[in-house]
This record gives sequence, structure tokens and C-alpha cells, in this order.
Amino acid sequence: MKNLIHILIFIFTSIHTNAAGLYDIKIHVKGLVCDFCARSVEKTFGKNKAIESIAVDLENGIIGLNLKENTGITEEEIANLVKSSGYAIESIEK
Amino acid sequence: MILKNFSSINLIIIYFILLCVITSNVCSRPISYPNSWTLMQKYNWEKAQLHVHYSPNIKNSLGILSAFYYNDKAILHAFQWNYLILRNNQKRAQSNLYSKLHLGGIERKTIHNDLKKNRFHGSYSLSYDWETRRHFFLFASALDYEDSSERFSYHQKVRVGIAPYLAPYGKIHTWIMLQLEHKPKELLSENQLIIASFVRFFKGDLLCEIGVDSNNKILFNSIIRF
Repeated sequence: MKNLIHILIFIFTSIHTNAAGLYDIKIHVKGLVCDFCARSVEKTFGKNKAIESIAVDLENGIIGLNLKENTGITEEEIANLVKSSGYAIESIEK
Repeated sequence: MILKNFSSINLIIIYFILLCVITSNVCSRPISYPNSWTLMQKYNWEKAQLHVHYSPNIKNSLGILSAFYYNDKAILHAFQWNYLILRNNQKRAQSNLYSKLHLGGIERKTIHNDLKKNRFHGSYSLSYDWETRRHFFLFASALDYEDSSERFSYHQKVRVGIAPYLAPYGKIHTWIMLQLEHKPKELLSENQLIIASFVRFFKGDLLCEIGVDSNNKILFNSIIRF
């Protein structure tokens, strides 16, 4: 039983780690609680030409970004986009 | 005959789909994302209202509002400006303080019930909301002015809500809400304090609320953003 629990914990942690590694950039934001309001994230970030796809994780307050090949985005640009979406930035993981 | 082939659950689903398609979004957000349009529809014991606004940024929205008041068959047309005074983003919560101003004209029937008089009408309100993924609270207070004998009136509203489940981003979200509306200047005492319970659904850019109030009157609000 104990082994089974350890295996389940291992599998869960692996899945979680893989999911976290899905994005080129992970932005931790404050205030991201409402789905209806968080549409602004998709609309605002979607206008940036460097961004390929956007994912919103309401549970953990994370915006995940995948970038187009040979493109980049500065932290200042990210901060401006988060502000324009109506949220406050906590940290950025690249 | 065709209806007999549908189960009641299918009919309920079709009903809600039609309801959303026909009317579409009203809510928590009097200002939308930058460079967007919002169409808000309200239907309750007092009025049927349509409000279209444009948000140039997250701080402001400018729009046109039209409403029809059933009791005195009054028609209101006004310009509305919504402004986000303050937003507090926390790790697991967000709170907002909005100001809303509308200025326009209202057309009411005279005591002879024939001629209509167009009068200036203005309203200023402050609205505070706080929400987490599970809980919602709103308090709004408004002062109305009309160019008539009874010049000023005020009303206030409190809303509390709870989400019975936490849906991920992009799925259907549901809230169960309770609203208390206080209108001390209403002529009928039964309309001075109105309690309404309703359900709010939203998915994507579409939101709708449906419920019933303490006078057994239907409430239906909807919002769509584009």
C-alpha cells in the first residue's frame, strides 16, 4: 500500500513537472480569479506578434506563453501586457 | 410530435442555448479589455435595459444606454461613462471600485396619461466588488437626479455569490447568487426591498444570469463582449 502511494505521488509529480515545462514563459500573476475577466489576457497577449499560444491557469494564477520560432519578448513587454490585461505581476519564469 | 422525442433535459439544454444566443452578457465587469465592445442586456421587475459600450483601455468605458420602465412606461436614453477608480490584485482575490455616470433624457407620461415630457436624467453610482474563485461580493450605491418635483432618489444593492464547483479556464462557470436591492423612494412598499436569487453562467465572452425575485418576477441579464 505504501509503495502504491509512493508510485502515485511520483506519477503525479512527474505529470505536474511536465505540465510546468510546457511553456516557454510562465508568468505568475495576482488577481487572476475570474474566467470571464481573464479573457482580457488572451485578447491582450494575442496581439503580440512573438506569441504563438497562451494558456491561463486560474487555479495557480499562471499565464503560460509559447513563443514563435526565432522570436523573443522582454520582461518589460510582458509586464506591460499583464498591466494592460488588468493584473499585477508576481514573477516571470523563462 | 417532435417534442415528444426529446427528453426534458434536452429541452432545458436547448432552452439555455437559445437564451444565450438570443440575448448574450451582464456582469461583474462594467469595463472590458482594451479596444473591445460590450453588449449588456437587463430584464427585471423594474425595467428592460440595453447598454452598449466601448472600452478604450482597462480604466474606462463609454457607451449608450436605453431602458424602458414598466410602471410608468418611461423611456430613458443616456450616455454612460464607467471608470475604474481602484483595483487591488491579490494572490487569490481581486477587488474593484468603479464609478458610473450616466446623463440623458427620460420620457414619462403626464398625469393625464397622454402627453409625454422629456426631462433631464442623471445618475452617479459607486460600485465595489471583491471576488475569489469561490466567493463573490458586491455593493453598489447610486444617486439619481431627474428634472421633476421629486428631484433626487437613491438606491443600493448588495450581492453575494458562491461557486458550487471550480471550473478550469475556458469551461462553463456557474455561480449561485443572492441580491438585495433597496429602493426607499419606490411608491409600492413591495418594491422598496427586493431580494432576488439567481444563477450566473459564463463561458468565454458570454455571460447570463437567470433568477426570480421576492415578488416572483423573473430576472434575466446577459452580456457579450467582442
